[in-house]
Amino acid sequence: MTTPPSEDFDQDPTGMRDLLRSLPDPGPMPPAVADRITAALAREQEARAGDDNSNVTPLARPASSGMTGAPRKSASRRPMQLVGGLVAAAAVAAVAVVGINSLNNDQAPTSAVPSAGASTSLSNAQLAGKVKVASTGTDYTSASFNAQAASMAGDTASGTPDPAIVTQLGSLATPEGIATCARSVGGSLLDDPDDIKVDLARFDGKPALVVVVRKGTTETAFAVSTTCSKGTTPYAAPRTV
Amino acid sequence: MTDPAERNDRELLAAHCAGDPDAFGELFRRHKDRMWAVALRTTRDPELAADAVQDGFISAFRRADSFRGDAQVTTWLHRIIVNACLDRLRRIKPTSELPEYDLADRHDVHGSTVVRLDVQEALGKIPEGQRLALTLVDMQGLPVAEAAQVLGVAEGTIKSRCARGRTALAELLRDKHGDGYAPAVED
Repeated sequence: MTTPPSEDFDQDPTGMRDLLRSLPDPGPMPPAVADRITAALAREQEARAGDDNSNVTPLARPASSGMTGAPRKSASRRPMQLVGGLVAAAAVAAVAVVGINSLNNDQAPTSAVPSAGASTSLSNAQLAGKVKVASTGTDYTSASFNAQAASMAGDTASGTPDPAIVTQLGSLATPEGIATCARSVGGSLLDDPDDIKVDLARFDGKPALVVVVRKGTTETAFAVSTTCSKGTTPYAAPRTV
Repeated sequence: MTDPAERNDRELLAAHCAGDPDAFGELFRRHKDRMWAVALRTTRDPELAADAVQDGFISAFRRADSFRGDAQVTTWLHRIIVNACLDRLRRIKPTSELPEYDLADRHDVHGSTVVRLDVQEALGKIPEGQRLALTLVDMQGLPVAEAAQVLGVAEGTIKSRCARGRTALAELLRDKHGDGYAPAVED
């Protein structure tokens, strides 16, 4: 199939060919991106297999699939539009964590991808209605996380998420990204929660997503990085606050 | 059933078309890094690249039966990914201009950041066709014939685009750094 380059093509007096070849490789696909695409492909596989669960498609395609429909603006270009998406994303995170309960730990990544709404009694709409997104500007710390999270949970003023922080979330500000991230948390957290608060904040100086789930009188908090992916450890594991 | 990892690309694609639920995932795992590289080099923007690679693989998943077998699967994938990149780029700006993005990252450990950014800047100033040809042939290392298939043009077109692109790049860099630029970039 290949044709040997002609002699004059091989000769490059400009030196640009060698210069371009010398540039460093971009490196492997980031795990968060790979996980996100793996999740999208898993949904495609589910759809192909005849699973017509209506909760799957609407979450996947408006957020990241550009094959049909209107183009999606990237997070850095339209930060404020992501606020609504973050609410939905947090709902998906909730669904994703719920899904963990029904999954075995040794399942392959592709089969472990939670199909939002498919394996839980909670619909996305139900969860979305329970999610509140805030941007308190708090720098949560390992030493004070419990108290800070409790304070955030008790704060009734949600405020408007800081666009700069939203921008920092990048691909996490998509249902796929946050679902992938939430899978790294694990545990049984979100069985029919009363409400879920998400703070677009920092943890020990690093951009983070702090989540507090309230069920009855119990509030469980955890913090995850904005670049987390499957297998990574959350900044703060789920704990009662 | 044969382990997907033991099958070649054509066998995997055929298995996917036949309903094997694991075959396409293996194709993705096998080629994701290469497709990520071409997408990142084409779009120069990680977010756009991520979206484009996802678009491309989803498209390939759905259109696997359109693969005619007259090219390598990787060539077919390259074509889909490059087209997805161009679609994404044209959505944000319907010209051949590239987004402003600093490609310096943790992989740059040779102190050649300035060189790389200058080259990236220069690449952003040459015509899209030349840029794509250089990306595929000089940066990704594709043979001319394969690049021609990816871009849907004749091999001679690829060669001429590469030649003109290299000349244009050299002029742009010379304008900025003078004649002594090229030797300075050698590691």
